[in-house]
Amino acid sequence: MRISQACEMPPWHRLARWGKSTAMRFLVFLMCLLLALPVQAGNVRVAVASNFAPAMEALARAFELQQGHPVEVMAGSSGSIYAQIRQGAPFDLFLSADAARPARLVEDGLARPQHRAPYAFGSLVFWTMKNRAALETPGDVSAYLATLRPRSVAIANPATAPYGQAAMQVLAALGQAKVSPVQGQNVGQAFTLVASGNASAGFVARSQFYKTFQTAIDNIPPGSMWLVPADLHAPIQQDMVLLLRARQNSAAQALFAWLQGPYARTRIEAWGYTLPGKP
Amino acid sequence: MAWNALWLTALLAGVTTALLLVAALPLAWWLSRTQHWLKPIIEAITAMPLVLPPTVIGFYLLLLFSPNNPLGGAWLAITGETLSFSFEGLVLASMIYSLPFAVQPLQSAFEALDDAVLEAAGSLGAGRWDRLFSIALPLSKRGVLTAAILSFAHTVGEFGVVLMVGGSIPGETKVISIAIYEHVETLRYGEAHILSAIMVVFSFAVLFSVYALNRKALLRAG
Repeated sequence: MRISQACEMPPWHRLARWGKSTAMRFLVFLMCLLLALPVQAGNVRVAVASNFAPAMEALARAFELQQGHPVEVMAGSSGSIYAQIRQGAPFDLFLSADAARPARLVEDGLARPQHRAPYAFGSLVFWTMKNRAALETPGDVSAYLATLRPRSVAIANPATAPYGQAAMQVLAALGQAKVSPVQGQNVGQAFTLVASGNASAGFVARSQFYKTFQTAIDNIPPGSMWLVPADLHAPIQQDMVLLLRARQNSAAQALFAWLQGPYARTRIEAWGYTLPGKP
Repeated sequence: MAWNALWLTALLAGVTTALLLVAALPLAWWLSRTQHWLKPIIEAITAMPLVLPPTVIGFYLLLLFSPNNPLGGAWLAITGETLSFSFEGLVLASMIYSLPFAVQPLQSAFEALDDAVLEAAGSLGAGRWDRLFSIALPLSKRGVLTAAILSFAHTVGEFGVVLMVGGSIPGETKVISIAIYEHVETLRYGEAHILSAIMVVFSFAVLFSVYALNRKALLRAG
């Protein structure tokens, strides 16, 4: 069959001869070095929900500068990360997009109750690139939604993403529950669907408009935006949890505390989130 | 819900396979008989979905399907719906995604044909396309069947492309692989197990039938 020909076998005989060469010995040496890297002292491995990943990357660099512990950031969806941690993935700290999964990890005995804390609350933005009229009141947005075809509003999947659940609640609160939205797997995909023009409008995270720490949105998108009032949906509480695996890792414990400290809090707020313990 | 996704997946794979065979047949026939300088270029393009990550195909299709683009815009004007998030869009995406799995077995089968038989038919006045339909195709039954089975199976196994252009609409674009992904995401491992087990059994059955088919043909030839 031709399909197998597409991935041709490497020339093993040549590789075998090469194995005796100095180059190979050097490669083995390099590989040993690489293998030794992850066990370097003071490393922190952070798994973070995609929506907070850019912010966490920046926070990790700041933490490294301030405290000198290297931080590795792994991004993924909260559901996948949860499943990976259950299967023994080597993460010290998990920043979830919701409160439910960190709570489950505590129930599962993979983290202590006192090691779970909210770090941010997500803000929802209704965004369209098509409409240039101002969207200022819920009435404006409601009227605009009524003009759209079905399947032209993108939201994150409500079954998997807290931002999607919040979007459904907002649609209901606006009296537009009949709008049949298209679902991205997460709020990142919802953003892409609007940005690429596949959806006329969408509910996205306010933090997605930030690329660096700024007090104002740095790349104002074309079209119109409406910052959804927080009372139209249940809070999008994002919790983090320090995993049991990190009980010997003082750097991970320091990061967990540091993320709740004043410096990180201002940074998180500057990235378009609201803060726990603050209206 | 589970049956919905299963049925949709089978329907998508079935429609894709049927359309793909129609499209791949002339292409494979041409590739197998031509010495044109374009041949290696067309062959490379045809094989590209084998190598490209599905995310690349998904990303470009998302841009192509957008109403801001000529294709997506024309589709919206004609049907009143966007090409993304629709069953039709998924069929088009799957055809691109599974193209090599239809073209390559057909091309191999056509290339294995005895030239003398085709030349004899030609000298008796059969045209190029007549030779395809009355001689080459009946003689290449196994290649056609392999192409159909592999296209169907590969479309069933599609995930990345659908994830990016589908929009997860039940009964329209939420195929079995997406349903499994969402079950795992929402910690409903029981449902994920059931659907995954069905997929394992299905893929074994498909591959077994391809290999059994090939073995039978080999025995007959030998």
